[in-house]
Amino acid sequence: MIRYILRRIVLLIPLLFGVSILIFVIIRLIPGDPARLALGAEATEDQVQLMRRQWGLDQPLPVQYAYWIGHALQGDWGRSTVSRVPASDEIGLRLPATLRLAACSVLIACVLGVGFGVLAAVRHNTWLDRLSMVIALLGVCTPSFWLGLMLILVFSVQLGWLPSFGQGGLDHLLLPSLTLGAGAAALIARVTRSSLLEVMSADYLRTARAKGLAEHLVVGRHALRNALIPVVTLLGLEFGGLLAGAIVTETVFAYPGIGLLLVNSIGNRDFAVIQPALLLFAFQFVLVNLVVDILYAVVDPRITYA
Amino acid sequence: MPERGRAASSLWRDAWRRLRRNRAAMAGALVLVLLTGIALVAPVIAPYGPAEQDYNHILEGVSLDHPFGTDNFGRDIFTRVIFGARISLSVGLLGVALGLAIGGAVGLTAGYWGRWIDDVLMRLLDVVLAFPQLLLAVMVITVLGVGDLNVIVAIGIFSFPGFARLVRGQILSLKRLDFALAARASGAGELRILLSHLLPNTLATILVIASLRLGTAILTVATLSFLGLGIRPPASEWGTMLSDGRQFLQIAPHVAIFPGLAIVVAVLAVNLLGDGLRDALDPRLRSS
Repeated sequence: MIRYILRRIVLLIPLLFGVSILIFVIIRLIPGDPARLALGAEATEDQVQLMRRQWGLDQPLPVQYAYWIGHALQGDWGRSTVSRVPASDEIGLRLPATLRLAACSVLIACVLGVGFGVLAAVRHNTWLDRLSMVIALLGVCTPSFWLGLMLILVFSVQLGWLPSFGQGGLDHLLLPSLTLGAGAAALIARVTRSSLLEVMSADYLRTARAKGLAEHLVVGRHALRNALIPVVTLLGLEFGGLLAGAIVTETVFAYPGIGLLLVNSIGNRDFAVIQPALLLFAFQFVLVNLVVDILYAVVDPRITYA
Repeated sequence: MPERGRAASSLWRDAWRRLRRNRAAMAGALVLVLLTGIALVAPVIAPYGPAEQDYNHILEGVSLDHPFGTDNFGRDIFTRVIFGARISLSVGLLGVALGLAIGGAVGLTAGYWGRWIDDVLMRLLDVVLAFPQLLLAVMVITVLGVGDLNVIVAIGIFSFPGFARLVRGQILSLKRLDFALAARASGAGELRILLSHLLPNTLATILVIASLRLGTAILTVATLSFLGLGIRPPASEWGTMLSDGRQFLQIAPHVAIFPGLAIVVAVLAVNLLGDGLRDALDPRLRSS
């Protein structure tokens, strides 16, 4: 097991290397001189030339990459062309907000998803089952930004219960997390239901019932535990995409996180901020997938990890 | 040869029979046909022009003259939603087709020739797959800039890794089967085996996955446009309309309601049909 984990972590290094090369190439593909782009239009030609030398932009591409990644590993991404603040500070300031949002969304997705999924499976073929699955289907097909707007319309504009934008206490988190978590909740509900239905007909459940165990114990203690294995995988996969979804949710709610920062930076062509933001999103996605694979091996002993 | 033709047509005929019995899938197909029809004849059936402004009727609610109300330029939202179907369906379809073309080529190459080509292509795919889908699309737009064509490219780029893996897997398992060996034994060339023996056998699965990807593509087109990274105003794209309409949420909620409903209906129809195709063509995919 330890060996499996170590091996996976070692394999991560070439992958992240590839990811960084891809981001480097993409930024270089953008038309225009990176030094000029970084300094902005008002910089003098001398300043641009100085920066070209500092960043090694007069060197061949592989050397440029070495410069770039060398600086990046030390946390030096240059300064935002908009705020003139170091890009690493721009990111660092907003990261906690995005992580808070993601954590709340995962929690909501789990509670709603597993809740509706179990309800639908236990009341299989009743109107409750059908209603849950229709809601889940709609949840998969609804764009998150529209759901966000509709939640604002109902809970902020009409009812006035919750704030529609910005950052603050838990009340500021509720609508954005619901928006971000809804899609994942819908998928989790569908998977929980079908997985639980599959397990419910297993022999060991018949045994559990035969020995007179109450139904909620049969479901809660025996069935659910086995049914949740595919849910764990799905949750991991969704969590990675969920952080990317923060780009959209944060834009809808003007929530000051990495996602909103990325969208604004792209609008401003602020490449010093775009690069670390992209790398961060890719890095967390890879990391979450790794954690899920490892968790999967831990939860399900049938998986061989040779 | 006639033997092969008969078997192939009966697979599709069986699938069609199964699909026809699936009420949800047929409803999805019906809505999709309707939407396509509306998109095709949009200029004929739309009561106004998509860019026609009327400053005497700004942000008006639902009425007989304007079934979905008007926006902040006095443009008829019903008309714009109809024209939006044009953009969403065409951009989504072309994007998925592009992704399928790239992914199919990569998957065929990796799966058929194998060895180091397979290794290299799969490692490169791993790098692309290290980015969440939406982020890939956003990255493409960062490089290329906004616009219809670039959105199609973005959809193509984020769809192709999935198709590549799918086609590779299919080819890997098919090329070991007897009929491929027989074709080889009878002296068929590599390309002939690949294109006329292996490829047709992957079509059913590809069709299923492509139809399900279309739903994601339509959602992504709208999402990119909403973020200001897709199709720019004044185009009547659904996501763009929502992005414009959100600032009037308090005084004219209909501006944000109808384009969103259009997206949900389109994606729902595509997904219902896709699920139906999956059950009809390849029940094994159900678990995944």
